Amino acid sequence: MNDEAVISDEDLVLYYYDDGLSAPAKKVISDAVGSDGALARRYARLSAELDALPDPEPLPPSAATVERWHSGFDAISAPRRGTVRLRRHLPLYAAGVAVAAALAIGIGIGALLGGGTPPGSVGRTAPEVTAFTDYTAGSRSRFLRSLEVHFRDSRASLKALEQDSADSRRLRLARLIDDNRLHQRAARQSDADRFARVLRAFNLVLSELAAEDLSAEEVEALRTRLLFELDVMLTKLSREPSEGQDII
Amino acid sequence: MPNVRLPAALIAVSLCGLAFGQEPATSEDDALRIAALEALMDAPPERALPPVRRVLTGNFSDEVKEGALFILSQIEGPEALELLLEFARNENGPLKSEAIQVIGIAGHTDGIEELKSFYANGDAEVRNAVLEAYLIADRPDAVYDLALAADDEKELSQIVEVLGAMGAVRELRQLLGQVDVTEGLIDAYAIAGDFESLRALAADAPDRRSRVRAIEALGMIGSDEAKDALVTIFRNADDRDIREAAVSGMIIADHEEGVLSLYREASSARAKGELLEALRAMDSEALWDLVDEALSEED
Repeated sequence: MNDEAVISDEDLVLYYYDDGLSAPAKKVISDAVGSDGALARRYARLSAELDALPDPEPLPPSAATVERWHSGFDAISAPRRGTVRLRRHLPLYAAGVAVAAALAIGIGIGALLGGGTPPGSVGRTAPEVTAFTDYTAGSRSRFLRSLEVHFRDSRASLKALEQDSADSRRLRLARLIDDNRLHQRAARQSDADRFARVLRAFNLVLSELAAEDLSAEEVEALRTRLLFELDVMLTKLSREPSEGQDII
Repeated sequence: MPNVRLPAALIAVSLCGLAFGQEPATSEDDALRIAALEALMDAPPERALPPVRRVLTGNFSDEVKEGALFILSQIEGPEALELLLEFARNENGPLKSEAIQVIGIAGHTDGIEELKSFYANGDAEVRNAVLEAYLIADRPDAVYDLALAADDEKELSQIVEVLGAMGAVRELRQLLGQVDVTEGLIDAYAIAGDFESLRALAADAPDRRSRVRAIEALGMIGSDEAKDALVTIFRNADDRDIREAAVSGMIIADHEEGVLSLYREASSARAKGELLEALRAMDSEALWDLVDEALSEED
């Protein structure tokens, strides 16, 4: 694309969606729309048409599909008759995303899984915590920085929980559990067992939050508790000695 | 909640507010106290411990005391451990369980050692809390010892479930032969992802019910080798229960390919019908082609 005379409607559509244009191309269009009244009016008309388009409906799964996944989860999580049930949902604690992804079929993720991709892996990359294979003082510092980012992300995710549907909530919580588990491994490798223990404790609360039979008040209480504990750990992390200093 | 740093005086005032026999705080008061507790993380242990002690021994809400317990888990030193243990020993109800769990978070060797005593003398809730503390502290060896000493199948099931959640494959395998094979133990292998143990039980469990459970549990493993194993089990099955268990496992594992290939191999209409039903339960897209096939062949 060289000048505004050859800016097609297709270019404007790509510009509208901020998709498929290089940075220089976007700048050319942006400058042209800003300086050419006719082009600006054309873009405004196109934008109005695109704004008026309805959002695509998510693919609803069949009832049989949802039942299949629920029966799979029930098979591993149903309390055996006569046992005292632990407060936490340990199968979810252990299984994390794989199970929650199964439950998330109900929110349209099933469409993404149609190609046979293993549950839980679609659209996600694992957090960057797998590089801590050999402990060094530098490893610990890198791990602590990564953990700080993870705790901040977790806070944001927990705050978003209140807008979630039940299925979205379970998927969000299962992803948090999975990310915590990855950081646990990194913590062990980085001589940071204290943080590994906290992450395991967090996962117990997260698996409790995923229970279907919680009232809104119980959910809020658990969420508030986790937010407080995350804040405490963020404060603690801010006081951790930096690379090269003695480790407390 | 913002990461607010409060001056020490404000911390002291907010945490003293209801320490002398008044009614438990409102939620707004609690919010301030919890913010004050959070700020204690900036203080050295000798400054942080007195307010925490005041909260734990004073008339504060359970929520505030839970916050204080978590803060205590992050304070180093023998005094902090002693305060935590003292609280856990003397308290009852949910806060006792919470304190026990915090012993796991704190991770002190002496504290972890004392968990055995809490378990031995505790009710069901306390025992749950001890198991959770061991899970947090990553002590599968201690949980294994509890499994060996379990009084009954109910208790054993609960304990091995924790081992499963810990991924404690070694300890779970050590239990085989030392305790009865129960559904709980089989489920624990599935939770821990132990394909090898489940495959062995699927072939050679001491009773039929365990064998069926182990086959189904392979479905929860869901790996390619587990899926292959289920297909093989189906092919070699000599009775209906085993075949059904294998199909259940394949449904759980969403192994549509496996069910389809078995359908094509099946020679009896009955077997084909069962597999067709499985494909229906899996919402298989290939189902309709097979239905057309089945209905296009006249007698």
